[in-house]
Amino acid sequence: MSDKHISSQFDVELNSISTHVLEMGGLVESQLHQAIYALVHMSTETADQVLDNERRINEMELSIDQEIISTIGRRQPTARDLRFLMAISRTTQNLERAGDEVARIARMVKSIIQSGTPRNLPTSELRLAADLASTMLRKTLDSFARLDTSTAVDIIKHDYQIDDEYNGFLRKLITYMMEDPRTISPSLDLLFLAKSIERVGDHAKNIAEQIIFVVKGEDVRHSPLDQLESVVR
Amino acid sequence: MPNTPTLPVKNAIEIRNLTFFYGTFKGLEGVNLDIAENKVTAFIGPSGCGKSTLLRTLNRMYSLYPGQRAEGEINLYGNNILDKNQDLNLLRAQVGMVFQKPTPFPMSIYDNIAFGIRLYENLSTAEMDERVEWALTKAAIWGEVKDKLGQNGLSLSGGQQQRLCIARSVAVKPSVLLLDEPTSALDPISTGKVEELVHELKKDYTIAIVTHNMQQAARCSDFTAYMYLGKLVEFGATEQIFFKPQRTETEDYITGRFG
Amino acid sequence: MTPNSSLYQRRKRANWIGLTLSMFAMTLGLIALLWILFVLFSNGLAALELSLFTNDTPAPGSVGGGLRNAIVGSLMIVGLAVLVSTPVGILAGIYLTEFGDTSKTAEFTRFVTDIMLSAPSIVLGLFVYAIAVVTVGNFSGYAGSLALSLIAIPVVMRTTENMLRLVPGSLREAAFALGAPRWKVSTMVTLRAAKSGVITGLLLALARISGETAPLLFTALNNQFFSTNMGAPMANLPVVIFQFAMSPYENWIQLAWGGALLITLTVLLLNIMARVFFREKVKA
Repeated sequence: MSDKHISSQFDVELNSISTHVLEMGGLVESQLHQAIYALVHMSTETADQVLDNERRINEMELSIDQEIISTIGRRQPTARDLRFLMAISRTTQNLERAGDEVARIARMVKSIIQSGTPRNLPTSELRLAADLASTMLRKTLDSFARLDTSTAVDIIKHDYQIDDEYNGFLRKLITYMMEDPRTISPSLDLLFLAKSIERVGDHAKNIAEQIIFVVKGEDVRHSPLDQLESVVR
Repeated sequence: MPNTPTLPVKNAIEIRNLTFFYGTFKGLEGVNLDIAENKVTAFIGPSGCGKSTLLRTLNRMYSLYPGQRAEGEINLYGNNILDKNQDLNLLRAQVGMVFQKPTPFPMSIYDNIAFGIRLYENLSTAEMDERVEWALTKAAIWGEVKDKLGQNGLSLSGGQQQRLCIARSVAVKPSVLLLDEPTSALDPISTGKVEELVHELKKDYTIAIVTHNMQQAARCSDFTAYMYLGKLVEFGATEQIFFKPQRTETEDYITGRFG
Repeated sequence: MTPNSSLYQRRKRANWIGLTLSMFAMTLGLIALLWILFVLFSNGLAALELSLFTNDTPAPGSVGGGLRNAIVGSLMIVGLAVLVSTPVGILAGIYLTEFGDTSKTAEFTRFVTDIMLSAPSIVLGLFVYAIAVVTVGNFSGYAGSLALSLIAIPVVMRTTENMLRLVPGSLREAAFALGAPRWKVSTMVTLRAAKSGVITGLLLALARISGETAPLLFTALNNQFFSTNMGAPMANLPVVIFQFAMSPYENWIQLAWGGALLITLTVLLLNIMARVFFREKVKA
C-alpha cells in the first residue's frame, strides 16, 4: 500500500497485518528448507525440529485472522483496502496449509527412516521439485510484499511445472515399486511426501492469484492461464 | 461521458452538459449524468464539490435566488426543465425535495401533509384523510402519530420530524424524490429508519440522494456519482465504485486517502 | 495561576467595580420608574370609581363628571387606526421581506419608514391637519385615526419585516419544494411561523398610539359631549388629560389623573400580553 490514509491509525493496522503475514510466510519458508534438508540427509533430528515449530504457524494464522476481523469491523474498508484484506485472509489460510504439508513431509521422512531407508529409494529425484516449490514460495511472498503482478503470473506458470515433475516422479516410483515389492511401504511414504511438495507449490500459486486480485480486482482463481495473462496485461 | 453505464434501465432524468454559475463562479462544469428510474442514485464528494448544487438544479430550487443560473439541459422524461418557459411550481410538485434540517410547517401534523396536496388537488375530506394516512404510512410514521394528527408538527422528535417531511413530499405523489443529506442531523437509529425507508420508497419513486457519509451511499444506493470541484469524476453502479473504482481519484476518496 | 497573584486581584477588583456601577444604574432607573408609578397610583386611584365610566366630561365649573366620552372616543379612534394599520403594515412587511427584498423600491420604502419612525408625532399631526382638517373644514375622529395610523404603520411594518426575516430560509424552501406559489408560501407558511412575533409587534404599536397626544390635538381635537360621530371632533383621553391637568378645577385635575392612570394601566396590560404571548409561542 503506497498511499497513506487520512487515518494514520488505519495505516498502522494495515502495516501490522502485512508484517505479520510476511513473518508467517518466512516461517513457512524456513520450515520447508528444514524439511528438504531432512529429506536429503535423512535426518530425524531436523524432521523433529520442523514438527515442533508447526504449532507456531497455526497460532499465527489465528492471530492474523483476528487482526483482519478487527480492522474490517472498525474501518469498513472499500475497494483496494477491502480486496487487500480479503487477499491476506486467503493468503494466511494457504500459508497455514502449506505449513501442514511441510509438517507432513517431515513426518514422512521420519517414517521412511524408521522403515530402514531402502537403497536406491529415489529421494534425490525429489530434490528438484522441492527446490522449485521452495523458490515459488519465496518468490510469491516477495511479490506479495511488492504487489507485483507480472512475477505472480510467472509463479502460476511454475506450478504447472511442479505438477509435471510430480507426475514424472510418480511413474518412476511405480517402476521402483514393481521391481521390489518389499519397498512398497517406504515408497508410499515417499509418494505422500512428493504429493506434499506438489501441494506446497499449489498454495504458492494460490497466493499469487491473490496478488492479482488485490491489484487488478479480478478473481482469477479457477481461471485458465490465457485469461489470467490478459487480466494482468 | 465518463463511465455512464449502458444498463437496461429507463432514465428518469438525463443531464447533459450542465454548467452552473453562482454569479461568476462556476459551481458545476460540463456534467453529464443519467438518473435511472426507480433506483437510488447517490452523489458523493468532499465539501464544495457541487453535489448539493447538482441536486438543487433538478427541481430548479436555485431559481429562487437571483444571480444563480444554469446552462445546458436537464431532461425530465424528455422535457427540458431548464427551459425558461418551464412552470417551476408544477415542476416542484413533480420533483420533491427533503432537506438536511427537518422543517415541519407550523401547523398540525395533518395540515403539514395536506398542505402540499391542497395545492394541486381537490380532495374530499374522506379522500384527504386517506391520502394523509397513506403518506404517513409510506414514511413509516403512521403508527407513531395516528393518535395525534392534530398536534403541531414541531412537537415531534428530530427523527420523526424528518420522516414527517418525507411523508409530506411523498403525499403529492412526485415522480422523483431529491434527498439532500437527509440523515445528517439525525441520531443513528433514526438514520437507520430513514435508510430503510429509502429502500422501500425506491420501488415507486426515483430517488437522488446527496450524502457526505460514504458508508450510507454504499448501503443505500444503486448508482453512485463521485464529484470533485464541480466536475463529475466517476459514475457507475455502487458495487462497482466501492469494489473496483475506475479512477484513482475516486478510490482515494472512498478509501480515505483523500487530502 | 495562583489565586493570590496581583493580576487576579486586579481583575477581581475591576469585576466588583463594574458590577457595583451597573447595579447602581439599574437601581436609579428602577427608582425613577417606581416613583412615576407611585405618583400616578396615589393621585389617580381615587378617581377610579364607576362614575368615571358612566359620566361624560364635566363643563368648566360643574361638579363630578367622568371620562365616558373620552374613553369611548379613544377606543373608536385607536380602534379604527389599528384596523387600518394592521393590514397595511403587515402586507408591506411581507412585501419587504418576501417580494421586494433588495429591490430599489424596497430599499426606498425602508428608508422612508425609518424616517417616519423617528418623526416627531406633532409633525405628523400637523400634516394630517393640513390635508384632512383644513380641506374638509372641520376637525374629525377620522383625521385623528389617520394621524395615529401614520404612526402605527411604520412600527407594524418594521416588526413584521424583522419577524419574517427570523423565519429560516429552509422553511420557505420546503414550502417551495412542494410546488407552492410565492404568495402562499409567504402567507400560509412564513407569516404563520412568525405569527406570534407579528402579533407582539401589533400590540406594541397599539400601546404606542394609545398614548399619543400631539397628533390628536390638531385632528380630533376634543368634544365635551358624548358622540360617536367620527366625522366631527371627538373626545379622547390624551387631549382631555392635557386640557384638565393644567386647569384650576379640582374635579378636572382629579379626572386627569384618573385618565392618566387608565392609559398607563392599558399600556402595561398590552406589554404584559405581548410578553406572555411571545414567550408562550417560543416555548412551543
